[in-house]
Amino acid sequence: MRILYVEDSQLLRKNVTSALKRAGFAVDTAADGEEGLNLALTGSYDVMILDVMLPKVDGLTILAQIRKAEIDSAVLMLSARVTTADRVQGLNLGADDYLVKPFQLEELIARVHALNRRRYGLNGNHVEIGKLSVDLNAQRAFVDEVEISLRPREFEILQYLVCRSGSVVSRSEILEHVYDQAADLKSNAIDVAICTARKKLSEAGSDANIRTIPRRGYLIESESSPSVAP
Amino acid sequence: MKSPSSIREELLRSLFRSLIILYAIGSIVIYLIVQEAIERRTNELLRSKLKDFAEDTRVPPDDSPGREHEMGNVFHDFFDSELGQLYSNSGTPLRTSLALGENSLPFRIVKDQSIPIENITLPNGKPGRVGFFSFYPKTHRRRPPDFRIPPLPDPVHLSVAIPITDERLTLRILGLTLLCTGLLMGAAVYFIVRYQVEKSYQPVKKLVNLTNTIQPDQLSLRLPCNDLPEELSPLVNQFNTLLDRLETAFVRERSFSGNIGHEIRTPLTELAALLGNAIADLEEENPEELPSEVYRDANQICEHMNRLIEVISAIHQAESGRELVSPTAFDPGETLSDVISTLSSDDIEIQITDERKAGDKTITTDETLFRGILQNLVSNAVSHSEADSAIVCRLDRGKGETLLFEISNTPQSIGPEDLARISEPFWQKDASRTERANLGLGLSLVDKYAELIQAEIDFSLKDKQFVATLEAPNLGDD
Repeated sequence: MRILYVEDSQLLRKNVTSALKRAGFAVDTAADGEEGLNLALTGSYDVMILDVMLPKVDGLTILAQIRKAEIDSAVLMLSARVTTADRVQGLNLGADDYLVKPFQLEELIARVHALNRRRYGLNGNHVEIGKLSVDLNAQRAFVDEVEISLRPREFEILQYLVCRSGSVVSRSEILEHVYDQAADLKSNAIDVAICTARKKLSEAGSDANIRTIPRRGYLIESESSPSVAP
Repeated sequence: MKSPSSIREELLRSLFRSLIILYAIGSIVIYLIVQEAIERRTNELLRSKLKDFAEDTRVPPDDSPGREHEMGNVFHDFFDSELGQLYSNSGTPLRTSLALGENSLPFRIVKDQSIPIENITLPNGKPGRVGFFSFYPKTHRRRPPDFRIPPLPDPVHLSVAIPITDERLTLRILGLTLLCTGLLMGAAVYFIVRYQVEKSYQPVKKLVNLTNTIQPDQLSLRLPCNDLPEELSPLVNQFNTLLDRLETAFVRERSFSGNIGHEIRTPLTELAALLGNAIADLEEENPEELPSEVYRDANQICEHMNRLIEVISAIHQAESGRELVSPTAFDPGETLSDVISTLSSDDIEIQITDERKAGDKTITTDETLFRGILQNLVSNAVSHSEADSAIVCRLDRGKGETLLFEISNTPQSIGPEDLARISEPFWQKDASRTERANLGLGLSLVDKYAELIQAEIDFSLKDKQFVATLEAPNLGDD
């Protein structure tokens, strides 16, 4: 899942980004509102975390602009302003959540997970496809309660495919939602990661399979109940 | 002086008491007037009777037998139905009316033409009034043949009495009527006065109810000034003015507290995120100790918070007047040099122009506060000047014995619209507070310190230069 985090405090930006990455998110950051707005309008993000008070362009203006551009990313506003009026203003402009400083990193990550779940219509942190069970919070995957050893990138792709289960996911979508801007991406990196993940799933006895749909992308489905015809 | 427990009750009591007293006085006056009128009428009647009887009294001829006894025989018959008695000059009754029977009336010799009147108890035991009249009765004597003037007969003395029972009854009825009317009126007056007082008290009651509805979170409410009695208008206006001041103070205080909260929350979040990450790193990688970077960052955050709290405390102290002012004589030029030396910047040049006369270099004021002002003004100029620009400080004498200090710099982004808010606590052109070095409190502190040393501070824009002008007076040695 890809996140945009716009925060002017360098220290906070560094530590929150680090925590988000640890939680399995691909994170792009911006230090001011202008840069943040550019990224928000051009990138494809699952969740945007915007500080309200930003240099050049404030967080609320960014929020208004991205909603005006009909970008449907979930938006979490961060602010040290605690009044109800401030929160109402942010939510009325189209924010999905509002978190007041100071906050614990765990809470921020939990809220980002919640926003992701809501975005992909999931009911909980566990997604099951056949025998495959993916714990989105713990960043772990199981087949018949036996954990599959996946590399972070493999898990992130699997997580995205699981969240989008039932839909064919194109390579560009995986690129946009799993990899951040700083990722050193080789041309076949996605194919290699998917191939490895598929192999690990198969070895673990999973009936969930990542199918390649020619010229369209990838689809994860249970072999016992295929959802899309090839 | 005893304070009234209730103005309304006091008013009611006073009005009721006054009306009752007025009624009592009025009743007494009416009673006395009526009494006087009745007495006068009775007296007139008595006098009239006396004169009539005197007019009709004839003296028989001197030679007529039993002369003394016949005197008064000429009275009309009605005399007998009256209470009257005729006396000779010696006090011997000459005639007594039949109505008087065997009883007598008092005898008086009246020397002039007046008719004295006295209250008596009549023979039948009822109250009466008696009048006395002395006169010379007309005579039936024949004129003497020698045409001599006949000698005057002896005077006779008439006493006539009349009962005054009716008059007394009339007065008693009048008194009773006035008393009953008084009681009825008292009750009616009490209710009318109470109603009127309640009615007059309604605006006060309304104001009290309105005042009771004002809660601490509803300070924007004001009492209505329209349709108020003129006595209440000044009070309501004063109260509204007080509410205005209270609301302003509350808003300022709330904004200040909010800003403090806001300023503290960001570094707290930074600290929490820093430590949260460090702990996660420790758990994942299990190093023996935290990297020095974490300590450095944590220290930096703490320093920032400490500075914030110090400045806020200084402002609060200055605002509450707890910052003591102790004037001493010193050279502000030296203080300025000191301050500049601690705030030197490679990018920005600071020039000092001293236009004071030699031998007139000192000022007597609080040096610590003065230094604080210079420190903040210079630091503000350094922080917000464009790179490679110059800051000019000028020292001069102002009007009288004042010291004039002026500092000008080329600001990055201050416009005329910002001047009004520039010394407001926490106000910064860039609200994001990206620069950790700036708290947005420097000029606010300058403002408070200037107030304490009775100095005038002014911020202006001249030819794209931001100019801060301080005019500080000598405070004297005491």
